[in-house]
Amino acid sequence: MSTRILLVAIFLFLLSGLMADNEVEIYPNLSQEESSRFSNLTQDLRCPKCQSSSLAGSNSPISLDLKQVIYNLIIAKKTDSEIKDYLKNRYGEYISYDPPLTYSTIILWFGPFIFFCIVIFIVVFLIKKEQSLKKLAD
Amino acid sequence: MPFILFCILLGYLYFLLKEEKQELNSALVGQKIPFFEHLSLDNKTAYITNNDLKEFPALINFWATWCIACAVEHPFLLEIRNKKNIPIYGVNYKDTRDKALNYLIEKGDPFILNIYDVNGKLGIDMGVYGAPETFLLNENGEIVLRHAGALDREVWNQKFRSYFAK
Repeated sequence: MSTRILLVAIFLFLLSGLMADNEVEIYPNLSQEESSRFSNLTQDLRCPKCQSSSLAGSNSPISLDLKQVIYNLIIAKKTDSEIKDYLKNRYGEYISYDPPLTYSTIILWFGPFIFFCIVIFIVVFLIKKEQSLKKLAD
Repeated sequence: MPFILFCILLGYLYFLLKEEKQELNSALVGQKIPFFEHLSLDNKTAYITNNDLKEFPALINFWATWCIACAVEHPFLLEIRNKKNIPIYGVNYKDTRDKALNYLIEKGDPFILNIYDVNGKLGIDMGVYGAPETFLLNENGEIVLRHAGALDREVWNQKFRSYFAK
């Protein structure tokens, strides 16, 4: 009995994921090219409310509003960079997944590299220390 | 040594997490409010524009009847309006006019005027991502800061109070 319940639960879980993936948001009157631009833009821009998700991956009210804004701007024949600038002017660089190199984004660009260098330095230090200890022991 | 490595990694991850949680600064800091022309909440035929915002320094508060945190901060807005005479411009954000008017009758009205931003256009122009959000305008009408979430005494004392001390 409990196995059956478990199977049903797994089935419903998988089904809900499938439904979420197939959720159709209708933005009419877009050509194929405009539709792919819409899709790329909503994936390149971040949901300002949920932060860890792109606009495409979020159904929060603000994401729906911003998707509508992007749709309207595409219909109004604005270019991708004009649309990105429009949103950056209002929501800041944070909305972009591709932040430019500025004072406030230095940590984003170089943080992982600096961290990597520290780790390499420590590993090399440890290896050398071990080698010198071995030499002393020999 | 592995412990030190672990601590560094932990520190780095904590820093990233802290950054993630950090409140976003408004992209409009240092700028005046973008041009707007919206219906007034109280008067179905009157329009409010930038020119109607005359008292500075002031607050612009985005609120709605569907927003629970707005109800939480409402008594404090009334307090700073009534006791400290702080000018607060209200933006009724993506709401229903009748509900909003009843809400103000029921709970009191801390706003010197109320912009009816029914489709959230002004919200988007000001980079609002939810309600409540409160913007501080300096004596020149420029945006100094934005606070997302309920405004309470602690936040007021930390971020806002000094701008109104004379």
